[in-house]
This record gives sequence, structure tokens and C-alpha cells, in this order.
Amino acid sequence: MSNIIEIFSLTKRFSTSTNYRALFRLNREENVTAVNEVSLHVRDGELFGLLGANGAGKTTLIKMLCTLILPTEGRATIAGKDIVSDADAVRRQIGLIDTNERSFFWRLTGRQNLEFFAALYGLNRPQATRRIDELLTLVNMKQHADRRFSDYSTGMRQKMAIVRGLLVSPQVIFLDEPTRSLDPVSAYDLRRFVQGVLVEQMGRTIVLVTHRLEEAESMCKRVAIMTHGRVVACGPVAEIKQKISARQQYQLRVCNLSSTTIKQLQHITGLTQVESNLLEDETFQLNLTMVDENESLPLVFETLVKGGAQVQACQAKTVSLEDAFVTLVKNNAR
Amino acid sequence: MLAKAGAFLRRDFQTQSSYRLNFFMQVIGILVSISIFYFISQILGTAISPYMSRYGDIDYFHFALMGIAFYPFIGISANSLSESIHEYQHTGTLEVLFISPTPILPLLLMSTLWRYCWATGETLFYLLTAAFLFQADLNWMGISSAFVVILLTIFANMGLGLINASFVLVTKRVSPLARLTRVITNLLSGIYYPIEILPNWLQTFSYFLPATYAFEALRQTMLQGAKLSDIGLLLLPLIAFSLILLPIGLISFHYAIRWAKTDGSLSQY
Repeated sequence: MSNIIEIFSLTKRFSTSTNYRALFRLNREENVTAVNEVSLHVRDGELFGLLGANGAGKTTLIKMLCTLILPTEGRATIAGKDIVSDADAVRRQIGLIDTNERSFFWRLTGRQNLEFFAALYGLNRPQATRRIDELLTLVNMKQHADRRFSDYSTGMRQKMAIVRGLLVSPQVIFLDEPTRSLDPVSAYDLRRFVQGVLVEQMGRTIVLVTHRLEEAESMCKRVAIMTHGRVVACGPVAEIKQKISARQQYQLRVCNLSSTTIKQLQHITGLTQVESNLLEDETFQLNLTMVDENESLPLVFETLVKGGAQVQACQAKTVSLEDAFVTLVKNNAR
Repeated sequence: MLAKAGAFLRRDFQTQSSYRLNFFMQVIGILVSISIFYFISQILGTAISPYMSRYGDIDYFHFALMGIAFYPFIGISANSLSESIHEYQHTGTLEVLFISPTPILPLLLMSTLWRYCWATGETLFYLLTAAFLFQADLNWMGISSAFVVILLTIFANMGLGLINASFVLVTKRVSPLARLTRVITNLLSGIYYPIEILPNWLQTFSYFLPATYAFEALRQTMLQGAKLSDIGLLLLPLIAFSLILLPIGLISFHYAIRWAKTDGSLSQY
């Protein structure tokens, strides 16, 4: 599978000086780096997740790829077209679905808005009418299409943004938190549509920007995690989780656990963390973190048995994408 | 591109028709405005005739009618681009329009089409009302020549329009140049009175305004029946303004877009 998006050391620094000072290139040193030497690629037909906390630089990165912001350094291509020198060609390949509900004409109806944008994207009237009806049916908005846009709820406006972004079905679609304002059923339907229809049937490439980690985990095979303008992890979700879970975690439920035994546990080689909590039924919950389970776990059991403790349950803790995300963000905190 | 232009016209018509009261207020505004100039003309009588002798035997009403009827084109060509950008920034639609496969400048020019259509309707309404309600004596045969004059005036002002649009893109504020030219045009270009009334030193500044030549040419075609060949000397300055200001406007617009994209402030206001 070839790469449809290729990003090489893309950097964006914004001037923090006032408009006029920046205009005349005064105070050159005063700037903030929103995107810092980001390099990554997205494969053709892939559903790729872009994750990051607020202010991580995700939106700036997407806007650069959408030709709305010029990069300071580095370069990027979409379908082989450079985002700076061939911006017009790039715009023919991309679509953006974001959560900005102001990006419509509020005095017009939903359908009038969609007809206008369809024409702007080069669809003729019959094509536009057919496509709009299809998409409105898909998001369950056909019966509301002729209401004025200002009368819509936030969720309905979000659905209209989705319909607009899919009008011409571009090769690459950027989805910026598409389910943020949707109810669970609509969000589920949209996720199924994106995965089933856009990616699997139509072979479109999707870049999903989201805060919902479970959404990214369920939809994307590969993700990039951004923090402070940098990509701190990029690859298959399982691989990222594996990197984070290099230290294995086990949770044990134990009774008759003495303080001496807990102290002995802390001296076991390879056991990096021992955390014990007394539960209501007088049993203990032991949370253990270890470098190598094959080496440490038998020693743990030996120590517990020798100390007179009884192990009632033992289970390995699985690392979620959320755990990985939090760990990466905290490890890369400024 | 024609289909896209049609989509912009349809969008603006739909928006405009959602403000029905506004439409009626504008019609009433035109009727009131034309009546005011008619009654002023009645009071003035032949008092200012010496200043208007070159148009033949006309009264002040005919003179002012040409100014107020055609003025919308002057204002639109200088300000509509910047007003469109300002409006898109405020409504939050600028980015979604700029991300479409339509190049930015044609997209913005198409955004102004409705205003030109509206101005055409406004001008015709002024002229027809003047002719039928106030018995204005107009040379309707000169309307095609007037159309050419208007086209040249639009091009002459468009360079300024692009500079004003650049200003809005960079500063997110209405251009002070737009305000200044509006005031100066109202004062010096002969919309409401012949420029001969002005002191000589002030008259000199009138000749640096495209509108001065435009109004003079329009009066000669619509009041005196002059043909295009008769007003060639008035059209030459309009062409010269276009040749000088349009390249400056295009360059400034190009750099303003680049600056806003570098600054990341395209949709800010």
C-alpha cells in the first residue's frame, strides 16, 4: 500500500508579536512552536488516528495539510502534490469535516446550504440533488433538510457538516472530532459508515482527529500521538500499547497478608512497584509492576506462601490506549 | 465556473429574500431619496444652471439623479471584496470556502456578484422612478454606453477594492483607505454638485478620482445623448486607473493571503 500523505519534518512557528510588528518582521525571536518537526505518513485507504491533548498541535497540523496555514519549515505532500507549491491540486483531493457549526449560512435551510457547497465543489444540479438525498438519509436528516440552519440543534449541525464533507467523496478526508456533538446512536452509525463504507467499500483515506481514545482504538489500526507539537508515538495501536506495557502489571487478591510480607515483596528483584490496598472484606488488593514476569512472579508467589498469605485471585492488567496516551503525554510533559 | 457563479447568486438571493422587510425599506429609501433631490431642485430653480451649462438645459434634479442612481457601482467596486471577506470572517465560513477547489480570488469575486445585480436593479429603479414619477428627461438610447462606462469604472475601482480586501485580511478591520476614499469621493467627484463649484485647488484633487470621470461620462451619455466616441477622453483616465491600480491590488492581495496563511489568522476577526 503506497503512502497518500507524506510529512517530512513539518514545523509551524507562530509569531506572538502584534499583527503590525509581525507584518514588518519585527521581533523575529518572539514565536511559539505549534508543530515541531513532525514526520509521518498515512497509507492510501487507511483509517489513521491523530490523538493529542488540547494545544498539542493537531489542528494546526491538519490546517497545514488543508492548505489553510503555511508551514514554517519542512514539507508535506498529499497524493504526491505539495501542500504549498501545489495547493490548488491538494484542495481537489481533500475534504474537511470539523465541529465548527458557524461554517454554514444560518439564514439558509440545510438543503440550500448543501446545494451551494455542492456547486462549489463542481457537482451539477441532478448529481447534487441525488448525493444530498443519499447522505441526508444516511445521517437521518432528510426530514429536517428544509428547515432553516439556525433552527438546528448542535447535533443536527454536526450531521450537516458530515454531509457537506462527504458531498464529493474526496480521496483524503480529515475528520476533526466528528462525533463530538452526536448522540451515542448517531455516533455509532457514523463510525460504521466511516469504517464500512468510506474506508472498506470506497477505499478513501481517513485522518481521524479525536479526543475519544476508545473511538480511535476501535476504528484505527495506526495512530499518532501528539504532545507539545511533537509526535511522541506513531504506529499500530497494539505496538504503541506494547511499548508502554514493557513493564507488566498484575493485580492480586490476597488474604492474611502481613506487613512483613509486604516489606519482603518490595525487595524482590525486578519488582518495581508494590501497592497494597485493604478492601472492605479484610482482603488485600496487591498491584504489582515488574520488568519480567517470568523472573519475578514465581518469587512473589513463593514469598506470599512462605509468609502465610493466601492468594485468591491473580490477573494480568491489560494496557488500554488511554493508559498509553496518558503515559506518553506525562512522560513528554515540558 | 458559470454554475458556481450561479450558486453564489442563488445563495445571496435566498439570503436576501429572508430579509423581506429590509427589501421594502430599501425601496422606500430610494423613493424618499429621489423625492428629496426633486424638491431641492424645485427650490434651487435655475440658480446653479451656469455650472451645468455643458449638459444643456437641465435642472439640478437631473444632475443629482445621475449621481445618486449610479453611485452604488462606485461603492461596490471599491468595497464589496473587503465586505465579503469581513462577512465570511464573522460568519465563520471563510475557511470552508477557501478549502474548496475554487481558487480564492475568483471565489471572492463571485461572492460580490449579487451586489452588482442588486446595484443594477437599484439604478434602474432610480431611473424609472425619476422618469415616470418626476418626468425626468433621460436619453434611454445612451444606456448601452452607460453600461460600458460602468464596466470601466468597476475595473478602475477594483484595484482599490483589492487593496481594501488585503487590508481586511491582514488587520481584520475595515480599511481606513476605504473610508477615506468614500468620503473624498462624496466630496469631490461631483455626485451631488458640479465640481466647478469647488475652489480651484480642491478641484485639482477631483481629477485623481475615477468617479469624477465616471459621473461626467454618465451624465453626457444619459442626459446629452453622447456616444462612446464622444466621451473617449473621459474613458481614457478610467482605463489608466485600471492599468495602474489593478496590478497593485492583485500583488497586495496575493501577499495579504500569504501573510494570513503564515500567521494562521485567515478566519480570525
